[in-house]
Amino acid sequence: MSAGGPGRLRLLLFRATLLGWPRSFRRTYGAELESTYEEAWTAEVSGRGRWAAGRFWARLLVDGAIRGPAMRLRLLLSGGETAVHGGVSRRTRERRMMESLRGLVHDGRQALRAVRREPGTAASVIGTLALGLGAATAIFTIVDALLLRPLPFAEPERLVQLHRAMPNGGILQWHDRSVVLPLLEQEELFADVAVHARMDAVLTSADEPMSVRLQAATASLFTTLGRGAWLGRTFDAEDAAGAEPVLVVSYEFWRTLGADRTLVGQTVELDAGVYRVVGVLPPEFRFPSTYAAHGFVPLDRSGRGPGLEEAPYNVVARLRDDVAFETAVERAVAFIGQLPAWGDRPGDPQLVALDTYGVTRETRRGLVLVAGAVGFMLLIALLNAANLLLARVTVREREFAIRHSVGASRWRLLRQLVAESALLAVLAGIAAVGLAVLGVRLMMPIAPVYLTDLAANRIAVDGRVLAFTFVATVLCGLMLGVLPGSAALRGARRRAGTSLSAYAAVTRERNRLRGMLVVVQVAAAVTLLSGAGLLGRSFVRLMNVETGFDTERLLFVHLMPNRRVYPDAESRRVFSQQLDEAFRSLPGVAAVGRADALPPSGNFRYAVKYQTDRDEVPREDSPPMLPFAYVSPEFIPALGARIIAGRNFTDDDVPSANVVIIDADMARWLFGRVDVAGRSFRTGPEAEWLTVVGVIEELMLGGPDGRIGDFALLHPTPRTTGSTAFAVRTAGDAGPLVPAVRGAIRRVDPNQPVWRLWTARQAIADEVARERFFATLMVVLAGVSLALSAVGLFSLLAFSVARRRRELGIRMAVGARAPVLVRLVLAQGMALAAAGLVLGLAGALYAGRFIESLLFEVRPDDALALGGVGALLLVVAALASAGPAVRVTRVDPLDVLRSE
Amino acid sequence: MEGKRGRQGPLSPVEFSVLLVLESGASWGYGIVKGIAERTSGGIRLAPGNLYQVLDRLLARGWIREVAAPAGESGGDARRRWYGLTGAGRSALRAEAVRLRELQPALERLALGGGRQGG
Repeated sequence: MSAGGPGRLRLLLFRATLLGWPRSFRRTYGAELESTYEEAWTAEVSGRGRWAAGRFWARLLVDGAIRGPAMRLRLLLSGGETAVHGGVSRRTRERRMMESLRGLVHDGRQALRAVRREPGTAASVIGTLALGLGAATAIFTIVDALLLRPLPFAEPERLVQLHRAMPNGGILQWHDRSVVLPLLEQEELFADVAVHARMDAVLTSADEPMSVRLQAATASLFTTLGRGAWLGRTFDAEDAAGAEPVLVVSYEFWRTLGADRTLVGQTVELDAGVYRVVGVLPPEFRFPSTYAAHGFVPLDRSGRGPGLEEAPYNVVARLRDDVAFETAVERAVAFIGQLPAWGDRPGDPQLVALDTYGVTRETRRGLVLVAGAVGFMLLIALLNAANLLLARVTVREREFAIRHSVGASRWRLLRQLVAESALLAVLAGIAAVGLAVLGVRLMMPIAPVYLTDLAANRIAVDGRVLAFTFVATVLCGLMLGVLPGSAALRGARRRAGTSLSAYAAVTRERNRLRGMLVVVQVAAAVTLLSGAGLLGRSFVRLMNVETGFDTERLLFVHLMPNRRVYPDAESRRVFSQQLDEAFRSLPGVAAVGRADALPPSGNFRYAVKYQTDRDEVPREDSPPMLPFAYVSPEFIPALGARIIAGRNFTDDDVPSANVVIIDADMARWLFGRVDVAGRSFRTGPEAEWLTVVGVIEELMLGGPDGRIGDFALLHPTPRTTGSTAFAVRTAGDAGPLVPAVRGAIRRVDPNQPVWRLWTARQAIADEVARERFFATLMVVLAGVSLALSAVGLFSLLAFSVARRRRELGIRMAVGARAPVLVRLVLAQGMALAAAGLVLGLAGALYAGRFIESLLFEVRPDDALALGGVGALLLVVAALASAGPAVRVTRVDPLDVLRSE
Repeated sequence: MEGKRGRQGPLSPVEFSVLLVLESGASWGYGIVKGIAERTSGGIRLAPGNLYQVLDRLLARGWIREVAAPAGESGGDARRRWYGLTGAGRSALRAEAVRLRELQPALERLALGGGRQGG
């Protein structure tokens, strides 16, 4: 088979010569013609020189130019009969195809008529299904973008990163230069390998100075990943040594810079220098996964560059494909482990496959949970729709019975029902797409920024998502058709000439079925509600964690000094001092403190093994992670944290003196009490002894859920430190002072971008954004599911009351009081609801262990949450039953008797 | 020309050659082209369009039909379709052969240069 450029061109030319022939001829014999042409070419022309080719083409041209039109003319004169191939068999095939097509069209038209006859039912079914499908599609959009889509690199399963597994569980993802550079030379270990290091910069050529995340990388980065530029080019080896620094920007950054296609070739001004943009990367390109770079600059083989002295270096490598994955990994790990530079720190080397978009385990669990929830909701919607259609079945039974008795086969009737349901499902599917687009647009503002960032803002309803919707719609349509359809047929068959009691039996069976469907619906809704309730409670608990600082009157400011303007420690100290004074002088500011990290999450140490001055050996049960920060003496007062033992830092306390302040949680764990000023401890057998000079109340330094630890350790730095993280306490509400603070920063240095400036409350909200997102989604899904189930229960009871009108009328005529009958209906409704509740709670308890890891200080069998769910359901069920029950009282016995 | 009534008209040379090739066994598109080329010592080399036009005509008359590829050939190009003679085709071929044989004495005279004075 010919392939590649010249072959394809030839094929196109050949097809062009065929244009003379009639279309029907080309259609019938097209493939064969091509095959014959290729064989002829291979046999007659290949390797025989230009004359042979020339003769060949000449023949083709003559053939096409003369015989082709001749055939057209003949067809025209003979009445346009198409070419025949295979004689009779093909014609029969075509005829049969036409017949089934016509049958489908007929079914479709019948379905349309049926829908138009009962617009109410149709609208309800379509509406219910559209809700379910729309929600499912919206959730799928996120799940696909974050979990299912493959990495945008060539053969991503062969890409690995280097990690260091610390002896006590932690993982280090960055390494020293001396460890990674030797790997660039190893040609046998990897098919391709690249080294990259984080390099932060400031964009100064824009209106507002902007922090820019860059990665300095070897030119092999793009070949290792297997993805090139979208505009322009990526680096080559000369760029690293070249005179002019070059920059390859990400798609997102290109958009930020104005989305101008002529950007390639222009320069941008960063604090690290003037860079010429040589290329723009494609939109899906995102690297590294957890800290996507705005741009890439070349790294030369010595690994040096401005601002890279203490940079964390990473390695990404592509394993060779002539060796098994595990073998290649083993070999590489063995080599790295015995590098002399590796042994400088503890821990074993690990090569792990490249992260899928850096999604954490908790986020993945949350997404799976929400996906399951939306599946439940779709089920409930489907059951609702099925129930609605089943209700209609009784009405249409007569129609089916008649058609059946005049000979329509079961298959035809079923097919028509399926066609009707398919039509409804298709209409629902179309509406669902619209709802999904709306849903996604509503979800994005509440989604945590790091999530939308992870997906490179590609969360949108695109081809893959539409394919999902299509498949889901088709399945729904089928299920919807089969259930009521078979019920209708069973009824129709038995109805034709049967006794009243047999008919009643069928009806009873059908109602039992509908009742079961409602029970299942309620159970699913209860399970969802339980999940939502638990997540909701967990989130509320999280928001109310003791912070140790005044969340209302506190601003957190964090800057990264422009390296060109502040190249050394002294200049940074001056800068910090100027900012401190500027903030202090603002009206409404009560206090300003400096630190190198701010709550709610500070720095952290791990592999910690505590040992107090009274312990003989380090404690084995030490929590492994310890949040810490270096703070100035005004910091604690600025936070509004209370000192409950000992004293605050003074200017005389310096880091080298090993004096520290700890929080009450830590004090209690280490020493059993809080007044421990003067006691000492250390964080590891090799660590220095630290003396406690003061204890403060519980301080949130390890995240609101304590994921980085519950303790807080503060080291002193003098008042004149060069730290550029500030805690600003305000006299009144902190929010209104944000613009003033921003203005103060700009007055000190108009070209300094602000990395973080927000209130303490916003800082905490940002930390729990993920939990809030999932809890919100669950609550919305559960709420809609509850509403749908209520509607299902309502319609079932209403139908039942309507059906039993005669029975109820008679009962009332012979003396039954209305309240008794009302209670009858209510009891029926509550019984169904109770059955569903029990089933649902059982399901919730069973699924509890899966949700456990997502909960904060809430057990999966939390009585309050589950009890609340039960109560809510019973109330809603009572309300749903009330309507039909009330209708019972309106039944006029005289009216009923008269009409019979 | 269709139908069993009356004598069929003469076949075109290409039609005759195709039927002749298929007489010795089923073949596919280019196989027929090759067969004809061999039989006419490279004289007639069918272009694909011409070939299928003829095949189409022969199919319409019911003289050839599509057959399954013989065992062992299934590994070839999937686009190929195999053709074989029908009973009617065989009869048509024989009729043509008879007609040509009746012409043979005249043909021989012409081929040997006889029948007219001079070369």
